[in-house]
Amino acid sequence: MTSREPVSDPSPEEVLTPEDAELFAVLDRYLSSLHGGDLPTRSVLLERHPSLAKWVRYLELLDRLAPEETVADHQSQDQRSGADAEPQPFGKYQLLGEIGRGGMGVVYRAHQTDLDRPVALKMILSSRLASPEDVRRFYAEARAAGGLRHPNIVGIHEAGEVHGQHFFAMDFIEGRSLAQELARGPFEPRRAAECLAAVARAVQYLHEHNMIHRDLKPSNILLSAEGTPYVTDFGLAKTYGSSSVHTQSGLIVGTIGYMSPEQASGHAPAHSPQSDIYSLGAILFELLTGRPPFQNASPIDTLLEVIESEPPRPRQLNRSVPLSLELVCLRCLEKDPRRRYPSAAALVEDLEHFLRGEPLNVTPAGLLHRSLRWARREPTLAMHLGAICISALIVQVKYMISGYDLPYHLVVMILFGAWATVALLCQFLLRRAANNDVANMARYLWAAADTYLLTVMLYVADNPLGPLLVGYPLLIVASGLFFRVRLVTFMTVACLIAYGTLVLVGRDPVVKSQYTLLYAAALAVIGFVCGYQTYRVRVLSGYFEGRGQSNS
Amino acid sequence: MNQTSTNDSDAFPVDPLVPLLERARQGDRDARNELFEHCRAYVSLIARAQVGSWLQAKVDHSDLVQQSLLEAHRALDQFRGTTDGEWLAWLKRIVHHNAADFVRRYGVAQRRRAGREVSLDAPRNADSSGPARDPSDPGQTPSQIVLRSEEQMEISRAVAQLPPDYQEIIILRNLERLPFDEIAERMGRSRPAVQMLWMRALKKLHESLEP
Repeated sequence: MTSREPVSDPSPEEVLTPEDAELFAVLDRYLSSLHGGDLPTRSVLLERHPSLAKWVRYLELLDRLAPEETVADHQSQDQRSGADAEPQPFGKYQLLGEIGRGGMGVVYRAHQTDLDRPVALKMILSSRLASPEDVRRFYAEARAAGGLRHPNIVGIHEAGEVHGQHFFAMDFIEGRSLAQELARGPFEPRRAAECLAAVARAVQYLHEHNMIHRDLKPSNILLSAEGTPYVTDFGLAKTYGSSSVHTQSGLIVGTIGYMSPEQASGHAPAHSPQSDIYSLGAILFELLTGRPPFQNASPIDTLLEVIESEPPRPRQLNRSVPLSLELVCLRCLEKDPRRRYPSAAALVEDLEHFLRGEPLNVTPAGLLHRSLRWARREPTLAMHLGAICISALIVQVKYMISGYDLPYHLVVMILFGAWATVALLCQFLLRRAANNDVANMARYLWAAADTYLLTVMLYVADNPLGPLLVGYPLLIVASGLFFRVRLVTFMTVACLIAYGTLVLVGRDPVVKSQYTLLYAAALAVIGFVCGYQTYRVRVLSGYFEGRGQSNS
Repeated sequence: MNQTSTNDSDAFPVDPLVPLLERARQGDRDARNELFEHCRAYVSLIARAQVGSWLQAKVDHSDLVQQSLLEAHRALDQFRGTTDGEWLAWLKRIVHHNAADFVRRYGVAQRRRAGREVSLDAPRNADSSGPARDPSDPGQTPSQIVLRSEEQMEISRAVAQLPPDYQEIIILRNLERLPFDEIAERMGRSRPAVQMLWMRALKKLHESLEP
């Protein structure tokens, strides 16, 4: 049968038959008018096409199932509704509308009737002030924060209680948060420096008054209509806010990117002003590049990176970032608090140097420190090159002592060289990977190349191989550092195949065949153990993401 | 006692769910289970539309369905309505609250969607006024009005039976009310292709509803 029946053919390239096209046009128009709230067209339509009654009915029924408003609409409506909502009295304030929510509670736009001024009211969730001790501390801190006045911080006017609801009143800043502003893209370098200098001045002021912010991040910085930044949520965040990072696992994603490594690892005895300097650096990083220094699909990867790995260089992400600003930024983001700026004031000073075009106080890091930083930034490559160098060095020393068989020595050295080149290439691929799939491919490629090169090496090496076979388990264990079960499995299988090949074609006389099998079995078990550990880390990571939660 | 809505005509067997609802409320476990089984497809469909596809990446909508049914189960005593329409509206509200909780819990940044600006004056009043009554559609008889809640469940079940592609297009176009251009972008297909898909889905729906 050659003539096809278009309606029954499900191929999507097909065009609508004329009848269908007509039906489509009528239904589509009806649906659009339905969405526009234009119902009267119905009777007109049915008069003209009485046969369509059923179809029209489906559209209406389906439309009836649609949400009145989706959650997303609902939330943004809350935020817009400020002006037109009915004001609600709350003590001497009139609540005008909700402007935000945080770990501590809900923030409202309000009007203070006695002083006739706009304020923002933060209502503290009752769960945050469970015991009388909590309440006492809240007022002590509010009093301390209330005494602070600085052109770049949001002043606190009052803390109080109405009908059992604890709240504090602060300046109302008309504008957006830095986080919202950053959603549009990075700042131009000068503007970034100006903005951060203002924030750092406010932080310095806080530090001078024995306050540590501890939760500095773009969403805690408000920009007025003129672009002046205001730091908010300080002081009080000290006692209440920061615990939310650890207790509400769902929130961990949002904040962790700006947390200092000592905070993230959780064993810092006290949060020092140095932690705030780190957060300032993270904010500067995002101002310059449009993204926080560490960001990853899963929180555990981000957490690990914050603690042990080095951020990419801002200039790598945005070529227009001046070298001096990059230095300032990386200085703030040092893992070791002692290597950061000693105070926010010192950071402000360097930012002002930059703005005036003067040389900075901060000097580029020394060679040793720079290479350490590089190793943390590219740990896989660093480990490869390190291992290759050490092995090559040993071989070279041995050659220099014994001094015979140059051709053999050359082959081994060339192989080491090739291995290092492959590692560099794979790292290049990995860094250039446009998406996760390509990155994964680069990792597999790297794993395969490692196995292959090791096997060639062992094939070339003088017999008996003996302890050299430790290379395979080493590869398997190292592959576990990526925390990907599949990669470990892949590596294990690759090593087993490679070892099998080596035994079959190798010149090493197989003394005892059961040893060979035992070795292969041991490889498989090592792979399993490694994969299982990786799996367990993944489960923990899933827990952090809050997916495993069963409570509502 | 079969107490139907008094403001409508008593002459019609209007609310088929009401007897079941009554028994469920009096503690009949079988009735309860039957009631929820009956409404599952409905809850599932509105849950999917409620969270929108942007959230679905993070949340399996079946969690939302489970949570909402559980809550409805627990709070059944608090339901005061007397009609099917009110019952469905009540379920819908629960799904909405739970969806809001999910969004908050997962810290999903809100994302405005182009084409979502639906006129708020559009008469979509099933939620507030109990059984649906379209002010702009005066020609309906009471039986037609009340049939709607049963029809709503029927069409939900029919949608749930469709192939995944068809379900998706119906949710995006009819329940999320997105324009075809945006749907095409999201599904990674051309605009004519999604229009065709929509037409096919409607036809299939028609087939399963009118055997």
